[in-house]
Amino acid sequence: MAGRGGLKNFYLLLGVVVVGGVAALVYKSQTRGSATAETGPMPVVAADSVPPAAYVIGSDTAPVVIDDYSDFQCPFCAHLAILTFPDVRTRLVNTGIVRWRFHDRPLNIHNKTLRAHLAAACAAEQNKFFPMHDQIYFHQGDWVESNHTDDLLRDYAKGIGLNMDAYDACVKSAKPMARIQAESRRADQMGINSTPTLLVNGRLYDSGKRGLGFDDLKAYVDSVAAVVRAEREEERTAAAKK
Amino acid sequence: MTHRMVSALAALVGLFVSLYLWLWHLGLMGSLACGTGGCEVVQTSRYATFAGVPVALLGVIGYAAMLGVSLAGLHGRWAASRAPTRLLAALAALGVLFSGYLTYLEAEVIHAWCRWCVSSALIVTAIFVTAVIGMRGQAQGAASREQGAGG
Repeated sequence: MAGRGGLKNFYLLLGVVVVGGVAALVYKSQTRGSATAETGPMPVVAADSVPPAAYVIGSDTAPVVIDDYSDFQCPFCAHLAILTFPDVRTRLVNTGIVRWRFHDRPLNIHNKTLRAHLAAACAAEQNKFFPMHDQIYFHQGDWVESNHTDDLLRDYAKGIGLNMDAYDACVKSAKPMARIQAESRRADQMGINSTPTLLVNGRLYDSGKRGLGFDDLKAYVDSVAAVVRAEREEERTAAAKK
Repeated sequence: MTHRMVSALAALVGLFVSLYLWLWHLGLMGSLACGTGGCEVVQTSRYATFAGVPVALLGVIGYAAMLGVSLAGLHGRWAASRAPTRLLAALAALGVLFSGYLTYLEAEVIHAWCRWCVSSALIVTAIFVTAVIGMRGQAQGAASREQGAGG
């Protein structure tokens, strides 16, 4: 049993640990550093037109368009896809606020990413890109480390109900690969060399500063949507006056 | 320092580790300080939730319980009782078993290591060992008191 002096010293030590722990958590939450620092510094992208993406969901009249440049083997992209994207889909895309465009941005530091991008492109040929996208990210740890990556990707394709003859033919021919690599080169030319990179209405979303959580993204989307709606209203009023 | 103080300190450190991982799950921490990227792979795998509850949240609850029991065991009538040490040993044993399962998943299924998860496994093992040592000490103390009373 500890004496009164021993207890006092113990609580002092406990207090030091509490203060240190809280300080470390607060510091980390405020310096959300390298959420997108997969490679190199943050790119600077002008707010000009973004090349069309192969994979799109959401209304074409949505006030906000988000371009997602992601790599299937990148853990931060998996974080975005698993923790944030489901809420984006149900609360922003399905409600007509956001149109989401996925761009292939396989990074050459990842040895198996192209196989996953190809598998997703083959699923897209059967209009099932996003179900395959979800499978690939949810099981990233499995196929990245496996010696049977193609078999696992095939299992995911089967699991989402693809026609497997068409899928196998697509993977074998690797027909979508030229488009994937062309899109990746275009992204490179735009200065997008880290993943995930999000452009919101053509402007770079600084996820390192703002965070990749749903609430972080929604706060930004809401502010952009408010501006777009106000602009559209002004245009309507001006057109009515004419 | 008594074994309950050591357990309380270890549980507090474990609580912060779990809290960090849970806050990251909630998207409040940016990227994980990990170095290899293995932490993100583990934390975004399907094994990062157990029965729909984030494993990190289970850690927060478990460590908070162990901290509470350790601190309660330092005061009042509980200070002389063996019950807090037994409860602590039982809670830590559950933690060791669960951590063992998670470590197996990292090694054999996910094939990636999360240093925070490994740290947590070591911390809960340390709490278990400390509690077992405390139980043995208490048993020996009780035996010598009985001998003293009998002689």
